[in-house]
Amino acid sequence: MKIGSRVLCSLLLCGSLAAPGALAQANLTELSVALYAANPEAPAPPANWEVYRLLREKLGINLRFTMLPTGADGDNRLGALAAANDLPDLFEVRSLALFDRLVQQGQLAPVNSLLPQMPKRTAERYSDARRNLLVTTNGQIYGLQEPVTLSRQYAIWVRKDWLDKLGLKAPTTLEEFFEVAKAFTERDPDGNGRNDTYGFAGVIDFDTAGILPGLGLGNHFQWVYGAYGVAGTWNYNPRAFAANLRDPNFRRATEYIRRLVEARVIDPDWATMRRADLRTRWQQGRYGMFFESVGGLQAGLQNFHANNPGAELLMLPPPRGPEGKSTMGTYSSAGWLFAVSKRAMDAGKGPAIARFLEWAHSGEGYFLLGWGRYNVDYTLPNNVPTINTQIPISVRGSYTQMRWLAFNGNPLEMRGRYPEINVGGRRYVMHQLMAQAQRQGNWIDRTGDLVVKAASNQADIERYVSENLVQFALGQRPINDTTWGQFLSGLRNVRFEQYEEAAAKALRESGYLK
Amino acid sequence: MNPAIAKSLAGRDGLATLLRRIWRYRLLYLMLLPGLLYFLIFRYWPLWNAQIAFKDFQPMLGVWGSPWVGLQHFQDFFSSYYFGQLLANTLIISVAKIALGIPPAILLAIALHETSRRFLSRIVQTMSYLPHFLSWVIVYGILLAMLSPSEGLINHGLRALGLEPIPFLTSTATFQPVVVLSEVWKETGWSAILFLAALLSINPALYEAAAIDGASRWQQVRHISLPGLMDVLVLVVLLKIGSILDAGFHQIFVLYSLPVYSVGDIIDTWVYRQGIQNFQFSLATAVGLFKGLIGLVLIVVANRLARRFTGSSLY
Repeated sequence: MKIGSRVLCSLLLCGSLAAPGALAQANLTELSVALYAANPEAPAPPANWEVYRLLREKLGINLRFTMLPTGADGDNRLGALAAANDLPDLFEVRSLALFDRLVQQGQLAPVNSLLPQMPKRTAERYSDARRNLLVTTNGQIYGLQEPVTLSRQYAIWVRKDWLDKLGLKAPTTLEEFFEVAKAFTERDPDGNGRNDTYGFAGVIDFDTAGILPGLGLGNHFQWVYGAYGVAGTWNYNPRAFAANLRDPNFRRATEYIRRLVEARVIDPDWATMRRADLRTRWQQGRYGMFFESVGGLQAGLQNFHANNPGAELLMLPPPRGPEGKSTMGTYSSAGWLFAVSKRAMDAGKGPAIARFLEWAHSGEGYFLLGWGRYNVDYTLPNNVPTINTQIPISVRGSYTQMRWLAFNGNPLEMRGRYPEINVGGRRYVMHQLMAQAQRQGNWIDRTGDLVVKAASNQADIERYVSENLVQFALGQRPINDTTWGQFLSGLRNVRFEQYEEAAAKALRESGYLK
Repeated sequence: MNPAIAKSLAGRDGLATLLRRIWRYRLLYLMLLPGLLYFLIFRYWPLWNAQIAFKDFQPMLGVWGSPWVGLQHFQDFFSSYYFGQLLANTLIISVAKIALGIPPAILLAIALHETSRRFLSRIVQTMSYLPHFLSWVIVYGILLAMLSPSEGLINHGLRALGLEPIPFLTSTATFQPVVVLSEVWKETGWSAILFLAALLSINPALYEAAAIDGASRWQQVRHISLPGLMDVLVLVVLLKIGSILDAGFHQIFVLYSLPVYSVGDIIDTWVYRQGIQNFQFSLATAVGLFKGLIGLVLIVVANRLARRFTGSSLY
């Protein structure tokens, strides 16, 4: 054989050997997925992440994962991608205003056809017709609405060691709460001889993860409104539907907050502090009582006990109001929301998306996405996923950035995510505390709030209500019949009646208001 | 020769001359190119997309295909409940920043220019323009450490004197002064650089001649330095007037909170909440166009006034 022929044969041989790989490459479905960072303190997964390889080899998917920044920045990023008609194939939506707009603009694909293609996932997550109704328009389901996983985990925590030191009992009513807060502020419970403690702290916060914000002062003060029977935005009264703020009890609850502020038992920075400031300060031992989630508590326990030796925390049931009512707030029974872009569906990526989501639901995919690398990031003693805390979150966090696609809230998972922590001589069983917060909070299901669309002047409505309430609470405006009347009559200026009417209509149509 | 042919030849000559000139100064033109491209890509091309201010922008239909809605978004903005307050806050904060921001920059520049100790002058200059490089988030942290009613340094001092703490960041009386003064603190050193450059370009012979004629330092400042600054001052004021409806989004977004919305909410923060966070991009664009138009009118008027009264102008 001549040299030329040999070379030709070799090339042909190489070609035939390479062909299956090339074919596999050609059959790969490109899939872009964008999710909010599950661990903002860690970078995105590395390029050699095992998941990328497995998806290529087993599912024929070439995954491109983009991490969205948490909070409004992530919403805005998605909004910008939508404006450029460049949405990812599969993505998470946290802003309902954006979701509604995308449906209205025809940028989302109905996911009805995907559901039978991922039978296990659909059976366990997307088979609740009532929950699917939240994302249904004209009979088409436009989102994969996950069951709740983080709901109702907020509580008021009280320093039991301070209660014991001052000879006080944990407060059960608003009046007792006020007295205890006053004692924590004025009687130097930390014994350092300085007037540097406050009875209570919460901030104006509208976090929507698992708890619904009411219109006004946000989540951290819902328990006060709840004690007066007016928690949440709407009253859900079928005969006299209205916003709760029209109820005389709403004024009484605002007066109670004013009392706390006026007596200086609440941190005077409450109206400007962010959640991070609140966390820093309770960990420093500045507060006798504070509003915090179980997850937030878990993250701060080490610091808290390092700063406050001998401290002990107790979860407080929501204080009762004058008529015995109490709740920690309102919540929705809907968790994360994922959507598929119309472009992806038109490009025939539906089956690949279903394959990927079904893989992420259980078994190998669930553990890889939810918990990271086995025997590195976690282990499985007694089938409970146990995180290896020796590896810092900034490292292991990279491998679980897509965990919201996997997590389902089952008891073993909850035990893994909220484990037992022994710190400062105290034992905290976090998943039990989580269950306690859910049980003890008398939470009110207001899932229906999610069907109420944002008004065209939503920013003005929110500003009007929140600004007035904070001015009342701070004493910038006195609360009396005249000023409260002005506040209520001024609602007309921001077209609040139309917003109320639209809410009533949406709630009636969806069956949330009978 | 036929005049048309002559004209054509002259035109060709003109073009050839132009091309020759461009070739001769090709390096200068090459240096100009990035700037030109920047303006074309980031300033002129987006003007095409600005038409969504008059449309109900639908990304699926594209900018051109979206339906026209006329002046609907402008009407929504002008008729919004807070429009008057937003405009007033924007103008008050913006004008105060110009009025209170420029004099300290001029004073600092003159002081730096007048000092005979160069080493000291350099240290002061460096220290004074360093805050310019701090982000507003960091400045917010500094302000909170200084002004917080519970643990701020100033309020600790007030309490030590037996006085009531002042909630600087949540009081409607103090919020605007905090915004303006923190901006002045942050930007004075940086603004002074421009004035210092203008002072350095004044012919030293003028100072020498004045000194020989017996002029004091103060007289030299008054009759040489200040008039020498006039051109740059006009330039700076005109440019600031052109962007008078930009009262400083980044700063106010970080500093403001619900208790001070009535004095702190400006056009840009409203646009962020209503236009960006509620994904009403057409509305946001309409407000942007409105701001640009007002800025254009103001800059043209102010330029004419400056030319008439001071003899110097922007163009």
